[in-house]
Amino acid sequence: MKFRANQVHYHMMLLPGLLLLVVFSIIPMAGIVMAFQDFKIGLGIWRSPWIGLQNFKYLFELSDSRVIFYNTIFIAVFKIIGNLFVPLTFAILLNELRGRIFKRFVQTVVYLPHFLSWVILSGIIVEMTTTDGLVNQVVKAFGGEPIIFLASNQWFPFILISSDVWKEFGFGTIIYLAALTGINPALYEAAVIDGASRPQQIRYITLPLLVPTFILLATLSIGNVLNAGFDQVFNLYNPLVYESGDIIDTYVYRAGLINAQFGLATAVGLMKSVISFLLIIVSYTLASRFANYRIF
Amino acid sequence: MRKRKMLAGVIALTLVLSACAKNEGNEGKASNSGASPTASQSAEGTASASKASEENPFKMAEPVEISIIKSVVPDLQLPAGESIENNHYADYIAEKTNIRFKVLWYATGDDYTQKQKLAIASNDLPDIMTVDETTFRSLVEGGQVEDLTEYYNKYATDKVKEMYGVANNLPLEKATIDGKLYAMPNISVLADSISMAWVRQDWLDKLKLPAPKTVDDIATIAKAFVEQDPDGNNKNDTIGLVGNNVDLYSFAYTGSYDFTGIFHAFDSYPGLWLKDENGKVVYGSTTQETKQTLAKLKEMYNNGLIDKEFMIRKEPSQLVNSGKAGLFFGPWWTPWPLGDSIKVDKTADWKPYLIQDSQGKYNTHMVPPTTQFLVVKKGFKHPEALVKHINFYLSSGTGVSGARDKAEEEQRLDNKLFQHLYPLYTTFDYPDAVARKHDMLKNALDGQIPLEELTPEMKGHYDRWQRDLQNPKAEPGDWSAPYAYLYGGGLLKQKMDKEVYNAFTATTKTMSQKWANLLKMEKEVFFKIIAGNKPVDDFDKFVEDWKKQGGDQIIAEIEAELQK
Repeated sequence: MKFRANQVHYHMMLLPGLLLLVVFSIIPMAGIVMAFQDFKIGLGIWRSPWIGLQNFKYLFELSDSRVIFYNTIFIAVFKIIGNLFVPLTFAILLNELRGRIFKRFVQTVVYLPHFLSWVILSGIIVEMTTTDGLVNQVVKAFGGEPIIFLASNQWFPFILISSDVWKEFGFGTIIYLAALTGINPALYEAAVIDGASRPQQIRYITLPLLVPTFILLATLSIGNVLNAGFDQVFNLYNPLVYESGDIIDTYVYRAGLINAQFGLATAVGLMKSVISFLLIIVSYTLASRFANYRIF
Repeated sequence: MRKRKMLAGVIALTLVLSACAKNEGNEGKASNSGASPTASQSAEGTASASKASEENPFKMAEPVEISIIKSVVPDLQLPAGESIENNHYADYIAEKTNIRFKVLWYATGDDYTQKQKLAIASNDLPDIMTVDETTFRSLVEGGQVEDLTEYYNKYATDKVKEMYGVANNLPLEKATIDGKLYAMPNISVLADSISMAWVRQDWLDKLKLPAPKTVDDIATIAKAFVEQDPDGNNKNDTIGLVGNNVDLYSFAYTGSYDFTGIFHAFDSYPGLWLKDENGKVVYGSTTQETKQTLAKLKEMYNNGLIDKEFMIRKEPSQLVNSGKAGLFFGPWWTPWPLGDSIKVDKTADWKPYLIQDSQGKYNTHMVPPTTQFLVVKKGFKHPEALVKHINFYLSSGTGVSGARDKAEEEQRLDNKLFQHLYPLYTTFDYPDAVARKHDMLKNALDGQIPLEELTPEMKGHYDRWQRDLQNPKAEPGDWSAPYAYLYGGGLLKQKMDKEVYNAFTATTKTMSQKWANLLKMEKEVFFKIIAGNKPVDDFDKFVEDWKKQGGDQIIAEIEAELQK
């Protein structure tokens, strides 16, 4: 690329953003060295003893590591799947609606939970799932025994996944709806003339034309395979469901902030970042190949 | 989280209270010894008139400047023209001790902690600062702080030595490494360790139940509270013993809504490092007594005597305040949070009880005798200034020339700002300060001591209680504090038969790597034994795993540390 004098001001405009990135994202990366140290606050980064890969070794020896990684991936993968298919279905259904005002209304309402924090939502979920809560009222009405959902290892991941999908599907719906408006109406008109029913229109026009968007979203979400959602789990879990609900982020939180095991916490965090980084590269390559998505 | 915030608030509160206790000691002592204020004032006059000599335990011969850092509250209101560094407290201290504190920087709450950690990490230390035990030990290890042994021996006053003595010199032991004293440790108020059962007395009376003494009584009461409709609304909506979703027990400052009191009644001290009869270190959560407690808790849970959903209760206080629960464990200061309960229901009559073990003995763990360590930066020229500063800080009531004088301070200092502006402020009080304050308030209410002898703080509580007596429970603010001192504080008069201190309160090398995992394992197993379907005998497997996964190694390290 050739340097052009008349572009200098564009580069100047980039500066503040770059500066923020350097100060808050790049410089702190130096802290990664803590993952290879027996970090002591009193000694600091400069004088804490180096212990090589011992933190990582310990991490793999932990009987818990398997559980934590399994939980993280299990929860994250099902959240990704849910967040791909539910909005897709919902967007198609919504698109079939005739009443414009009602459509907009529904669209806005399902979008709202996206803006609520898990601190608030978790309170609502806890209330709903207590033994006197709404859900258990229904269970009791059908003659079942009330279940403490949040203390049950069978139910806990399901609650995490379903509540996350419920919270986020409105957001995904908007992306699909945007893609739907981009479909040329002439295609539908032609199909109608050929005698296609509405299900057939969906099957042969809507779905195929949504595939690129779907692939794009799917590949981009691969980078999230290790993000099972700290806020949500942290606000909902308890020691009884560590077995099915403890994820990497909550573990790092407990190790690092509560027990001051900065070295170990950094090691776990670093490993997560490295894996996520690799996954992002993979997903970007896939996205550019299959969905023609390019950043540069 | 809320609970923790509240705890922090209350600790802050005790700090405030103990600040005021300084003056109280002064007054009591002064009147007992019969030293008239005029006498001590004139004595002081001569002291400041005479040339400050090397022997003066409170004053530096030459003015010195000491840099410190300061944690402040967010919306601190200072008198016009004053700052965190330059204010009437600073002037007063400088005049009395010849020490001028220079505040390098100040910050609030977590920011302060973060900044301090950074400062330590980059070895950019103030001349004197306050740190916790783990930081203290690593500072000593890093050779960043001065050895204070000779300065303490040479300069500390009898009063300071007496106060450490009342605390059995335990704080000094904590601050001593390899026979050298590296810090002036604070003295904790021990009242915050004891876990009491707080019970709705009105419910007990209604169901004709006796006051609880043992764990079985607690079970009986819990059963009755669940089954016999104590609130009389003809609905099966009350629960027994309250628990919370984070901790089953506390091992330092006693929390609310946990089962600490029951553990203690089984002579079990989970979370603490104990020494057995052979001097071997044992982790309290791995003892047979702890197993027995878990078995009892499991039985109670299975019988519905403990809140079925305690493991998902983030805000157990809601159950208490809404009148759904009338039985839980908490510390002496519980009436503060109970203010909301009496606001909702004036008939709620909360009473605290201590629970005995099967031999009729009262056991408790104790908060560490010291939690704050005042350290002097390596290379600072006047380490004795710290000792003199503390001499002066604790000198009220001694009547020695140059000591703090209550009458003068009342005139010159704004008492409300004491813990905000007094340099290097920390809890430095008799370990039994709360019981002492209980006595003072009680005696004043019984008319045994004249009101003039009350400290400003206790006079405030006295007035509040008078207002509350006229219009009972109308204003939670009038009820909480005096009630806490009269009832919670009163119970602290009970002599504990067994007081268990944590044998080790810092962190070892292996702990810093493996503790999170061990703690997680413990929590998971304990919660599952009580409320899940793990059999009690899985406890033995837990102990084995715990030892294998680093516990044994940590114990060896702790024993080595304790040898030092």
